Formats: sequence, structure tokens, C-alpha cells
Amino acid sequence: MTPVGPPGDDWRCVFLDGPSPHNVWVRWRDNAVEDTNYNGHGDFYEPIANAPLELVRRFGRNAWNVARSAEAAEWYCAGVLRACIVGRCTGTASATVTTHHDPSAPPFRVWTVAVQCGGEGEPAATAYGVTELGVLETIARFLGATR
Amino acid sequence: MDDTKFEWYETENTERFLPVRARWTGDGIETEEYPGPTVAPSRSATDIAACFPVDAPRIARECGASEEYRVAVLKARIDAVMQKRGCGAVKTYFNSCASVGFQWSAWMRSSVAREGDERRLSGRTPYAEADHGTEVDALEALATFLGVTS
Repeated sequence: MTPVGPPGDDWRCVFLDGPSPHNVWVRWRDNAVEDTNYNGHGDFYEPIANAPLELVRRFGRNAWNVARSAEAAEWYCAGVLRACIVGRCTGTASATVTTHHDPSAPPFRVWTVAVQCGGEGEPAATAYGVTELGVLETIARFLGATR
Repeated sequence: MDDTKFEWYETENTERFLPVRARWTGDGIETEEYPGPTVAPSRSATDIAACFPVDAPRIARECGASEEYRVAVLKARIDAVMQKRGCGAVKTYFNSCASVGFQWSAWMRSSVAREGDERRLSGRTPYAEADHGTEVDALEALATFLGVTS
């Protein structure tokens, strides 16, 4: 993808993993998070390396609360939460956040979110719940990634 | 913290119960095992952690404190922070069947669990675990992971 027009320094990219992984661009405007994965004219921008970390540093650990209070879409709030978790857990090693949906599981645990810090033997955390977003929020609080 | 008063914290592992006592001298932490078995610890882990600075685990390590004492300080520090997040107590266990280097586990759930509730809670609450070759290393890894020590 070739960027059409620079996104500007105030835009950052969040990678959304899952069945259809994609990038979404976000920025801070008028005390809220504004997002887009295209510029309104059908033009996508290239992602920025380590963008989630930059996002967390720029927006702070309450980015999730801001997004939720701004009634952002569920998939976008999930992206911000993932960025918050990755940002919190990368102090000593790289972190990965994976989500898994198992419709055959009991209703209260159809969604699983796992956070891995580093490789084998490194700390890991898991959480279960009814919705992907709910589980992400729960584990983010557990890990101190939001407040 | 009163630098003349001993503060108490109790710790245990799978092999023995070991009360330790420590005090803040201004330059570091002095520690010793309590010699008598009859006097119960008088302070909770949270109280002790509140007395110690945030970097108490690091100070204990640099002062060459015993591993048992470092375990106690780390547990106290983790519990103090995680209780504010509504979580239960940190726990450790030794698994002789695990791979060498990963036999000690430090873990906790996000909910306060009573004895016997673990199975019911296992599928409902966030769970974090770190595995290492020693109890103190596992606790340090978990503490860093949870963001309770720097």
C-alpha cells in the first residue's frame, strides 16, 4: 500500500489481530480518540513500526476509558485495549496478545485472551469471558494496563 | 517506617513454614529468621508491604537478604498492589515433574478465592503465572509482569 498524503504525526496505527487482521489508524482530537483505517477517500496508509507502544505513550493508560466514553466501535476499543496491554507488558520483554473464540465452550468462557511475555518460561496470563472486548478489559485491569 | 521496630511477615513454601522478621535501617533492610515458634506474626502482608518502599524487593536482593526473606518481601509487595486491583493472594508451588529450570511457579487469580473455590473460579477469572528454577525468581518474574515492581 502506498500512502496517499502523509498521515501526520498525530496519527498512530493499531494492529487488530483475529480472523481478519487489519490495521486501524487513530488520533487524539477534541479530548477523544478518532479512528480510521482509511482517509475517507479510500486511501490506506502504511502502518508505523511499534505503533501500539507509541499510541500508549501518547494517549496514556486511560486511552481505553476515553475510547469507551466516546462510544467507539467495539472492534476499535479492542484495538486500544490490546495496545494498552502490549505497552504495559513490554518493559522487559516483548508481549503478545492473542484472542480465541470457542463456541463449544461454556457460555461464560467462549472467549479466551492470552498475554505472553517473552518466550517459553516467561510470565503469561489468561482470562475468559462472554465477549472478546469484555475479556480484554478484564485482563487489562488485572495487569494494570488501564485505570 | 519506624527504624527501631521489627515488622513481621510470614512466608511458607511446600516444605516448611518460616517466619522472618526485618527492619528498615535507612540504608537497607536487616533481616533474620525468628528464633521462636510460639509467637504469631502480628502484621498482615499488606501492612508490611505498606511499610516498605516500592523497590523493597530490589533492595533486599542487593543487600544479600536470604532467599526466604526475599520471597516474603516479594509476596507482600505483590499482594499489596494486587489487592488494590481486587485480586487475591499470590501463591507459589514446586512441581517436581516440570522441566528443570521451570519447577517453581508463582501464580495468582484476579479474584479472592476461599479454600475450595479454585476449581469453580478456574474458568472465570484472569490467571497469571511465571515459572522459574527458584521460588524467588518466579516471584520476581510475576511481579515484573504484573507491574508491581520496577
